[in-house]
Amino acid sequence: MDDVMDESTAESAALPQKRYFRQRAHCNPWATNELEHPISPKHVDWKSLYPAFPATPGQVEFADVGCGYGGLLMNLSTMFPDKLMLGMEIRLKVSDYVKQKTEALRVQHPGQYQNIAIVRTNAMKYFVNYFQKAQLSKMFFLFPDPHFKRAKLKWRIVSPTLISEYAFALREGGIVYTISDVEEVHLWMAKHFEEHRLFRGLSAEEMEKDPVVPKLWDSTEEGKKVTRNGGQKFCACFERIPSGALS
Amino acid sequence: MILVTNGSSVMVTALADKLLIGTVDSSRPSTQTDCRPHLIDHRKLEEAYSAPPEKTEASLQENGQATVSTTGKKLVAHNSGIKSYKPDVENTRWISAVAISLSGTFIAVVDNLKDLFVYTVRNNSESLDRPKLISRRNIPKRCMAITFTSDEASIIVADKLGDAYIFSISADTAQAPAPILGHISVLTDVVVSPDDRYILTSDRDEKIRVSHFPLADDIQTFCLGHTEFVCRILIPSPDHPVVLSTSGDCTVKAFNYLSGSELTSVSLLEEGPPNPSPGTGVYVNSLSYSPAIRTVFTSLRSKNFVYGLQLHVEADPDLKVAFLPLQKIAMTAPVVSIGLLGMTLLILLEDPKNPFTTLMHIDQLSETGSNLQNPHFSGYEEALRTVVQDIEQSGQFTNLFRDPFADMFNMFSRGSEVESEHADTDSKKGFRKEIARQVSPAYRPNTKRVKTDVPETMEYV
Repeated sequence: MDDVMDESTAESAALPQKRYFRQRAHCNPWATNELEHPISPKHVDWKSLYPAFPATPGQVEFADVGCGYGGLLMNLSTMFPDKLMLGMEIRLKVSDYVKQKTEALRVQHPGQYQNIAIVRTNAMKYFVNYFQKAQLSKMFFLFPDPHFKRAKLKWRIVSPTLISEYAFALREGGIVYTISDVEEVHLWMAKHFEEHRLFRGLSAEEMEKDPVVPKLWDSTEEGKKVTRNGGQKFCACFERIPSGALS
Repeated sequence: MILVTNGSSVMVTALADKLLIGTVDSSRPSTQTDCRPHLIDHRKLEEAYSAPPEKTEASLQENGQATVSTTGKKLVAHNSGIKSYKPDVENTRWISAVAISLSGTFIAVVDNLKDLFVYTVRNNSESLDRPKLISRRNIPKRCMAITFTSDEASIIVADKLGDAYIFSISADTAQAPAPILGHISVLTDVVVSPDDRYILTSDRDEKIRVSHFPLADDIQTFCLGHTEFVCRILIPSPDHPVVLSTSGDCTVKAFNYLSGSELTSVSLLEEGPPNPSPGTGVYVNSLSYSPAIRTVFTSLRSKNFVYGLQLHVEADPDLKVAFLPLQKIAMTAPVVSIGLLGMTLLILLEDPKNPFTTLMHIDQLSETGSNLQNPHFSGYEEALRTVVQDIEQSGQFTNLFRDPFADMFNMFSRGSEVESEHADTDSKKGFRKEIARQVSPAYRPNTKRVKTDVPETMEYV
């Protein structure tokens, strides 16, 4: 009996392998397909995402938009063990992978990795369904899909429309971290964040002092791939400034 | 067909490319004064105007996102953005949205050819004999809703790609302005708060966004609670931060637009779940509020009823809103749109022979007895009937009562635990199968495999 029990827990605690969860990288976020989404932040079952915490709406502090295979979340989980972090990913197989991996990690390392979770959702359309006003303290956009063609520019995760929503969900002083290996995408994101009234760019010294910035480079699957191929990465960070500070 | 009023003195019915403006002397009760109709035919504009409209640099080609309309393939000037569909349809004008300023001085009209017209019916508090055109310009994208700001100096236009633009009443700039705010979805309605401090926009993704005005990149809150596209929003009174909203989920909800919390909700369906199955085309389409008797009037598209709901607002200590049980008044045909002028309720019906009717004395309406029509609107009614019959006879528009919200339902059911395989749109195989299923059989390739190696009959000789 004991052997059977050990086997099954060992099986369920085995880390899932990425090669069984590969999926096409690009998709159309403007398509209204049948993605279930919560009516509002109060309607989300936070307890099922973070069972070890008395999760209430308004507790999540870090949001990884387009988290892919969850590399950044895993890394930050041990750095900030009492901050709740949510990953948002639109691809089904990839979000399943992260879910299974989180569960496996929680079993393998009891007490750890309880503060990360993933939801499968279209962050462009349903971002504000998950977060209340001025809730988040950090947001991450790691290697977002470039969508080069002119007709696809509105699919980019950073646009003036969406930056207003991110400014709504971020608290004053909250930081947005962006990194990309495509220079054009990096310049696009930097331009739009700088132009928005409610954000200001962080200087190089401020970025050096921040302990999270070094994690952006190689935590994720995409980041490791770029390093393997010998590509360049461009990083930029922005702070949400108070609305009242402007005329 | 669209019916819009400013509540007291001006009403506009827009159908095809024609406007029927009705003015009423608001200093006298609507039961004693006639409604004077004026017809403006936009087809005649091409001859009257020698100068072409100012084309803005931003009016680029449409993206050509095709959607299949529920009225069938003959998309006569359908607002879904198909520009190159039929050559004879391209130049057909169809009015898509109308707004009247609060005092009734200005009327703004947008059509599917992206022209924005502004008319005035008053000149220095004197009513003009005929409405006068003040400005005409081109806007970047097709739009679903427009509104005036409370100071009547600007017009906000909400377009089909989710952006809202602000224009001044007179055409002083040739360039299209940058959008002041955006959604990632079709915008269905836009409203500015009476103190001009907030702008509320509703979209197909069940959201109502409340942003500061005029610096609309600062969002105040989101009013979340609807489970289908939000159709119309209305701010009933300037005293409380309450917004009423109607939706494809057949409910009317009230929200506090400063905090975003849902105050109350009432469903207009008697039986069945709050979400009727999509494709039935039932949704709450109109919303009108009478401050005199504090009643909200609304109607369900495709049903023959007008509903009256009494609105009770308490501000102490917290903002609380309640709808009292509703009154249901039967009509002779499905209700397209409703509006209020003083104490008279105006109703557009989906009946080419009798498209327009009125209900007088809205404070004394009864469900069972007969309600009086307002005889002073008979001139308007006659004029409208003539216009409808002219259009039907000319045959230029196949569906006058076309429903602009028919294909806005979001087509998903909440609470289903099973993830269907088609939900994964990234899987190429499923995507191709989905397309093949939608295409009619005539276009499907013949996939029957003919077996050539095995003979049909085995003959034993």
